[in-house]
Amino acid sequence: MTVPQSDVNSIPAAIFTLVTTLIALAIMGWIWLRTFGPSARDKAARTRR
Amino acid sequence: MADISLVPPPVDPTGLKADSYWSKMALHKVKPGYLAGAALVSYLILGISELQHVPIWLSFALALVPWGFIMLVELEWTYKHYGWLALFFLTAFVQTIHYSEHCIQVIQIHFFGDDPHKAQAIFGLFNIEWVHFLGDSFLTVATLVLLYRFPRNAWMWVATVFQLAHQAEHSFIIYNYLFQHVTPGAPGLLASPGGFIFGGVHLIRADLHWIYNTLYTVPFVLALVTQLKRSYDEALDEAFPDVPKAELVGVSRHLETFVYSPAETVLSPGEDVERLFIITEGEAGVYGHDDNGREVELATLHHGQYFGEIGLLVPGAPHRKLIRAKTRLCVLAMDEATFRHLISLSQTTQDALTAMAGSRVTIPAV
Repeated sequence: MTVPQSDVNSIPAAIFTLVTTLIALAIMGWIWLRTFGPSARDKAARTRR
Repeated sequence: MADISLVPPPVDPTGLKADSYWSKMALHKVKPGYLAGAALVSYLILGISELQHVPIWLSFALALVPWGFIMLVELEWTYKHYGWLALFFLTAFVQTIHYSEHCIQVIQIHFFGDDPHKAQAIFGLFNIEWVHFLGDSFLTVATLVLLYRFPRNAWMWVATVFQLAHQAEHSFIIYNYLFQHVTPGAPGLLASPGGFIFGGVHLIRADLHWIYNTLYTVPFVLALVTQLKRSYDEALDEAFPDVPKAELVGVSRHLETFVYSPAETVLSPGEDVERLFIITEGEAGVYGHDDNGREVELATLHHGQYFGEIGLLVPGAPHRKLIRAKTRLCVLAMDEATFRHLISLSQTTQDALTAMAGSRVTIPAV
């Protein structure tokens, strides 16, 4: 038997959503850092030299 | 990765007709006749299904089968030549079907006045939370992989943000569906009525998810077009491993593809063709003559190898050997101006080319 969304406690679903979204955002942040971060800039500068 | 150079190398006005960006999306393995055949088969499937009262989802699924095969064959070719650009094409194919479903559903509701719960587009049978979640998760993973591979493509960042927002909706919905036994079709985070955040934003779920898809699809298409302009055949990387990738992007904009049939002659001795040929597919044989005047094969050239450099390095030097396709052969031809620009970029490349030419012909001392 199914119930409408308004009849359930949606906090666990919200926490699950928040955690999975934060994981995805962390992956985006890691990609950003490895592409545009300080170590990427140093590497580019060394390549130019 | 270095910044992408948008300054093109100098062009020889009498040079080659460079391949268009869009040629990467053209058919390479599948003959145009098969395309017409696939269209006819799909049309027949839809027609027969209509006459036999086959459910609409099944008739469209069957009609898509020939296109799926064409897509797979072409994806394999794209992966061999352009690497991860193939994932771009696969994601575009999946999103085309997915977005079409959402567009049809919105048209059913707003143009034909269908009840939102009954507007099921074509594949309504699969309008279940699991399919939505898994389909959307595929798009999220594919988008993140594409962002990882092409992080300097600004439109990928925009597309990823909207895809994550859409994914958040489906994560919320699937959790409630699985663990709280919430009715399928629930509003999720932002749909009305009853969305988790502020009770929704006065949009029904079908409209909200159409907006999510539009916000993803538009930057995704722009990202794809941007990447088409920045991608080059990976044979170039093999041929010139020391040239910065950003420069290869510029160089690739001046190359023209030529295709030869097996046994077809590419270059004949004495020809004064001032072009460099880089093999992207197939094999070419290098032929000379022995003391008895019989033709002998001297070498076989493969993917990522090149020939014709002697005519470019030694002014006025005609080509010395016969080059003939051993299989179906695809080459990228480079004109002299682009070649000069390329070797000016890397001393290592210049040395390698000179050594290669020296091994093939005795270069007169300057």
